Amino acid sequence: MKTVLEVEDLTVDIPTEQGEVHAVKGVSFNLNEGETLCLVGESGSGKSMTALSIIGLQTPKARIGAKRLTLLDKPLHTLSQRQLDQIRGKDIAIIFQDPMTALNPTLTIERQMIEGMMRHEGVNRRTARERAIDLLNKVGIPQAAERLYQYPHQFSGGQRQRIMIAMALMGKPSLLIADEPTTALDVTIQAQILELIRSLSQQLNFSLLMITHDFGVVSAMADKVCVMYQGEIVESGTAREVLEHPRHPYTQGLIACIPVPGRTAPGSRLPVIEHPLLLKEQP
Amino acid sequence: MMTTPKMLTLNTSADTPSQRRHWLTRWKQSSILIGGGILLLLVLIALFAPLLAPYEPTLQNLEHRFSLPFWMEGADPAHLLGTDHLGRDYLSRLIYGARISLGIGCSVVVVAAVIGTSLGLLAGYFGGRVDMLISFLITTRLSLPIVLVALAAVALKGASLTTLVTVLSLLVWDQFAIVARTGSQTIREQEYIRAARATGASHLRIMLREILPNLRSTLIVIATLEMANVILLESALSFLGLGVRPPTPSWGLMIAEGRDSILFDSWLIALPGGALCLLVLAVNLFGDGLRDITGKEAKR
Repeated sequence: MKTVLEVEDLTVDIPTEQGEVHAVKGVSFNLNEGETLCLVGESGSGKSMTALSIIGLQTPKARIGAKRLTLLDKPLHTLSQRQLDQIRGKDIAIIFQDPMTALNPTLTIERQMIEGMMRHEGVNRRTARERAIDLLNKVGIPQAAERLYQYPHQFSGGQRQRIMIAMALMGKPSLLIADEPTTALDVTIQAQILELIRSLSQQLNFSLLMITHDFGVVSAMADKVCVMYQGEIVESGTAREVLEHPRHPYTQGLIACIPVPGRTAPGSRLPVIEHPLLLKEQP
Repeated sequence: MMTTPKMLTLNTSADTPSQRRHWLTRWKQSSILIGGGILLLLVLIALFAPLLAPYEPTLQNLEHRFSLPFWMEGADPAHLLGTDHLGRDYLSRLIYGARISLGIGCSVVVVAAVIGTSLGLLAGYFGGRVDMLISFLITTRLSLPIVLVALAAVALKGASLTTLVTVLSLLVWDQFAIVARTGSQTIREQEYIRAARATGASHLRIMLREILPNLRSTLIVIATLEMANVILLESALSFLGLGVRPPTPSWGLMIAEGRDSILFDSWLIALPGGALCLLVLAVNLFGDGLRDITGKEAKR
């Protein structure tokens, strides 16, 4: 099977006034074609930093180091800005957490969807528009041909996330990064969006790097899981292994935090993860 | 009950909040209509000046100096608004003067908007050193007294239309820069800018295609309000003899030329002065109305 993304010994350091923060400390993983990898961890564990630094969207001050950071054997972290711009939105795409803010309110959906493709592939407006309509249909936006000319505020939150997904897929990426794509949505929509992403990844055969803190999402989506804590991967393996036989105490703690109907008494508090490292402040 | 009549008077009084708001909206809407209407009329007059003016604005006729406008006794029916000290038809000069005022107003505002908006976008989007440098430019510009610097610059370069437009454009871009800077500072933090970066859009593209549309309505309002400012400035400079050169008709220049006869033929000043007032008032009304309307849209 072809390896799409290879990450070896990735570090992200952010200089601050209080000294350097090591947000990601030597993370390594591989992602094969068509596979789904979930990065799981609590807030500040470095999972978003890892994902953002792959696509080059980390804060400008952050310094990235890696032994190997390649997408389809092309190194990503040594690219110039221009080369990076050519890869983003084409070979690699990202969808963000909050669809309410991730679309420009002053531009029509059409423009936001087709501009990247016209630029990357040099196709004309009509070709790009056809692809946009096709993708909007695929993600389940009814009457796509008309709705293409509407503005983001004319869509609901779930629809906007669908549009974000369609937008990300415009360039036929081989890797899609999803940074907590369902966190801002309500529970009924969450399941639909997850199902949509999964079926699209099978249809269009892209690899998915999914950032989440929700083991429910992991069990629904993941082939492989990496559990991150304090900027390091503390446990990794296939989803089944990790979910059924968590070895690291932190993973066990995370899984114990999921409320289970019947087992968790209503009104009782969920377990707290005890760890001396937690006392150290993380940015 | 004691409270009943009070409540009644409250209900019937004309100033219930909703009614007041209604009245306010009406006023705002009519202000944009009145301002826009006058402005449109003046623009049309300026555009079609050669068709409307009965005489060449620079045509002198020394035999018919100081002939009186139509509402005074002894007026010359050939010259509706009389003639000036060189016997030039005043109506024609007023009509052509609108061209100068509007022309300079528009071109200065366009150039200034381009300068100011680009600087503001750069400063707000990139921040850091770029922002420091551009903010320094803005503060420097704000610390310069416009009229004084314009006078000095025009006096040095010699008065001509091009100099006037250049100098004024270089002096009124600050509002555009300030607004574009603050605007892009907020907008660049938005997630959709990061999303645009993720699709491979370059910095320039993001500034022009993603941020600028967000600032459009505010910038248009500023442009109208700045235009009123520029029109007054041009007249002031022309009045002081450092703007438009005679014999080109400019309202400021006409006021200056009529100054000698202010006690005897005060209409020589009142007419261009009134025209200037009307134009500036119209532009301001229009800009204010526009601001209220776009402000409302932004809130919605």
